[in-house]
Amino acid sequence: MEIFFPKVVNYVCTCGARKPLDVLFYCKHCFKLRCGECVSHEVDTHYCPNCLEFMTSPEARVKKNVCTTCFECPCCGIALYSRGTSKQVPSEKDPSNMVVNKAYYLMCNSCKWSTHDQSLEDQPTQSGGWPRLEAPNQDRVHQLCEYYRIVAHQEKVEKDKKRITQKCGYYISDKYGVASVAAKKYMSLQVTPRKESQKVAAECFASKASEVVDDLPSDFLEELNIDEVTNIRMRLSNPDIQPEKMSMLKMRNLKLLTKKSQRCKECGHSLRKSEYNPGSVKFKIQLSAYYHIPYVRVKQVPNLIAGREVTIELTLTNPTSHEVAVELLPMEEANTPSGSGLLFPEVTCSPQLPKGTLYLPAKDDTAEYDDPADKMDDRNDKSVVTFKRLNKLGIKMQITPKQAENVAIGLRLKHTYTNLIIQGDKREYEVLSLIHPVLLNLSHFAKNSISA
Amino acid sequence: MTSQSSLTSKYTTGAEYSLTSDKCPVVLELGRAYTKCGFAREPSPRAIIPSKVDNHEIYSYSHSSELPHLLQDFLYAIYYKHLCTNPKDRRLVVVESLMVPLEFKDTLATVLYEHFEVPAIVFVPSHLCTLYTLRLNTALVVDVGFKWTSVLPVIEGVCNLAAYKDIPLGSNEIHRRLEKFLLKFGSVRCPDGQTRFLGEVNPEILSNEDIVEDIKVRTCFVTPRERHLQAQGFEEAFCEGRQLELPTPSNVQYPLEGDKVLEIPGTLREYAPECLFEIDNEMESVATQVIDALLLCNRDSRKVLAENIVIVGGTAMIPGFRRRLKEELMALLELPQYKKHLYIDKFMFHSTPCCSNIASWLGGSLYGSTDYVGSQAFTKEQFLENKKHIPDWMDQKWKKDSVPGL
Ligand SMILES: Nc1ncnc2c1ncn2[C@@H]1O[C@H](COP(=O)(O)OP(=O)(O)OP(=O)(O)O)[C@@H](O)[C@H]1O
Ligand SMILES: [Mg+2]
Repeated sequence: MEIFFPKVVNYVCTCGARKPLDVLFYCKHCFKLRCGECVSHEVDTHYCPNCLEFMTSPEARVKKNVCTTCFECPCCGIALYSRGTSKQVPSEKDPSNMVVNKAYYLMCNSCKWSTHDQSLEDQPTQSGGWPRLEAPNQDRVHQLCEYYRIVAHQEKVEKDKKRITQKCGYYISDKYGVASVAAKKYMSLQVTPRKESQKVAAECFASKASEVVDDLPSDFLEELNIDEVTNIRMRLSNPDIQPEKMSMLKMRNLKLLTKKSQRCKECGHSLRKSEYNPGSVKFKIQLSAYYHIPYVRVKQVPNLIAGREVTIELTLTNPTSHEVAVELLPMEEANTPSGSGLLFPEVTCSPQLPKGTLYLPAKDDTAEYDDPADKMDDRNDKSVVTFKRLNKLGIKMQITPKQAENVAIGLRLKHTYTNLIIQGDKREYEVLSLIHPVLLNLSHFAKNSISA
Repeated sequence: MTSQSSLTSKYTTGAEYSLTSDKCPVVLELGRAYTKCGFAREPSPRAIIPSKVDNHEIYSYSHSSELPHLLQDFLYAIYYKHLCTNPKDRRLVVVESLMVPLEFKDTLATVLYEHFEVPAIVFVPSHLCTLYTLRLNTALVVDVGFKWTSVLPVIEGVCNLAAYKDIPLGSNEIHRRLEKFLLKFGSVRCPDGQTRFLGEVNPEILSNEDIVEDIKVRTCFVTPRERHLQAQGFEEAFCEGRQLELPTPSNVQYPLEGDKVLEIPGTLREYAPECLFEIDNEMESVATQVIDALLLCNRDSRKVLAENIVIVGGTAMIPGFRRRLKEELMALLELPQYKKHLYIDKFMFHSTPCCSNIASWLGGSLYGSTDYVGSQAFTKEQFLENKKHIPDWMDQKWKKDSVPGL
């Protein structure tokens, strides 16, 4: 999308962020612009980037966000590929007869690491039953977990008991049913942790200190081949063991990726929701501002020289299937303590904006194949409009930059928006008027056009 | 360790834990160098990633107005890329270092509550929660991190803040020394067959921190004290190009930029990490910090602390670090100024059930599995009531009940 909007034209989002139109959302329910920073993101579905298996969130949670069949290379982190080998081995029934035995191993297509490096046996099936990596300390961690859970639970019980007995003493004759509530709570506290937890916790001993510490390996003076030592990325990608030698590397299950949906924080409606199928790039809901708000582009900027008036040409495009009336308004002035200044400090030049309303015809997908003889709309001011093609209008305006560098103009784009209201069988259109501040960085454009 | 099926393991594995209590809190430790993120009850973080956004370190921001944006982008990647979970769904345990400025913490909390709508957050001090991994309530915690080494005695579950010591020694210092000496003495074999000094070939190359770190991680080691003593005056000898009587570690051929080979002098491999143990102008080193912290504790607790030392932090994973620290501590004991006051004769060390760079994270994970999170977490409403401040854990309230279960 960068090629359409090379960061020259930024719309000001409702939250104040400056963003090109293509990354903005348009909430149809609040009629406001929203950007990635002011919407709430939600993880929708998980999928494996390699085998594209799709999973719901609870399932992915149980599987610890990894794919059970795909593995990643411990050196470079990309997915491993399955390779088949066939070996001639003596048949079990008749040792004099040779049979072909198929076996599969995994290998990295980039760095050639393979399951042989980890001394894993080849598997008889293609999506073989490779061992799942487990933390060497998980039993100890489990013990500690149960131990502290019980300690915490007991502490809580004690605290609440104290509180409740105090309270109960106070409300002896219970007119308001408080005591019964308290009693219920008291009962709930009697729940003891499960037997198994207690058993596990009982095995949890305190760590024993020792005078012996890890020593320096005795071969520290010897030749060191840098290719046999892992780098920090490889170590940290396996936090459980953090292997130091290449020979100790172990492959891990491939991490799942997610599809996210976006929601308006103010009204809670979905702004974008993709289809569940990980292979699909389509959306179920897609409220991109690009489809709803007229877009402004810079067509031509001559060389900018401080103090000299020049004419620039912009285009306006209507992406909707309704006619849009556009007005270009000057930026608002804010009353700062030091007098009045523009709300947008990056604006360095104010343009002489065309007055009056410009009408942009609706977007008509079929019209593209028609005769391009476009009639001018009589309502538009001919001294402003430079050309018209389908739903696009070219307009010109004068600016006088105060400096040659960093020339940025600002304007408020006021346009009509036709909103469809569906109530039962009734379809009604309502025409709203919206205003969006737009910032145009002309220097960027001018420089580009010189170098081009 | 791998096993064919989870049944061989004595207890149910992590996968089933998450079934029973499906929404465990998120546990996050934002280190200066690496951020560890994962879920409570799990034995290791899901991901360890550099604390950077687009090559911009999250802790070195030039203006406080930048910080919210940095954190927003960083946390977005953590939640949606590495943890694949909705921030709204889970409570959060943040394992925080004592060194983190209050401003950072408040900004972090604001971003988490307001932007990500995290329901409740609890901050736990990293030194303290390390003890959960050992089932201890008294220990001397030594954290050798990226920029700082810090020492904090914890007695019966109470931090002795008066005895807290820190010193700007850590991986960063080793990196700086490596950079300085490699530029002077590292020779590069260029594709044209000639050998030149690195400083002549490309003096800029080491400003890429990753290369220096890679060299440290893969080649450096901490030499035993004995060798250190024999190599006194090492630096002068090194600079003058004199050979020491000692057998030197082998030089290492390090591939650089695809077509060159950097020869790393063997002596530099052992000399660079020495900066942690050299006594500087203020007569301080990593080892003196430990002793000084002990001296700041009252006399009765010194012995028990000296016999319960816990070493955490990634820098302590350089081979030979622990041995050297112990040797240095023993040597300091012999000095008259310490011998008179300490009344201890030995040091004993614990080993955490995980690699030492994730020890405090694991502590947070254990803490996060208990009911304490529910009772101690700060909700958004409380945060707003408290004028967007997270109560400092050094406050009296925290001192009293921040150390549950220990
Ligand atoms: N497995 C490892 N092997 C060797 N070195 C490591 C390993 N893990 C981490 N390190 C080194 O330890 C240094 C510190 O890592 P650590 O993760 O402790 O930093 P941190 O927690 O972000 O720092 P701090 O605690 O100061 O905020 C890093 O610079 C890294 O080079
Ligand atoms: Mg740390």
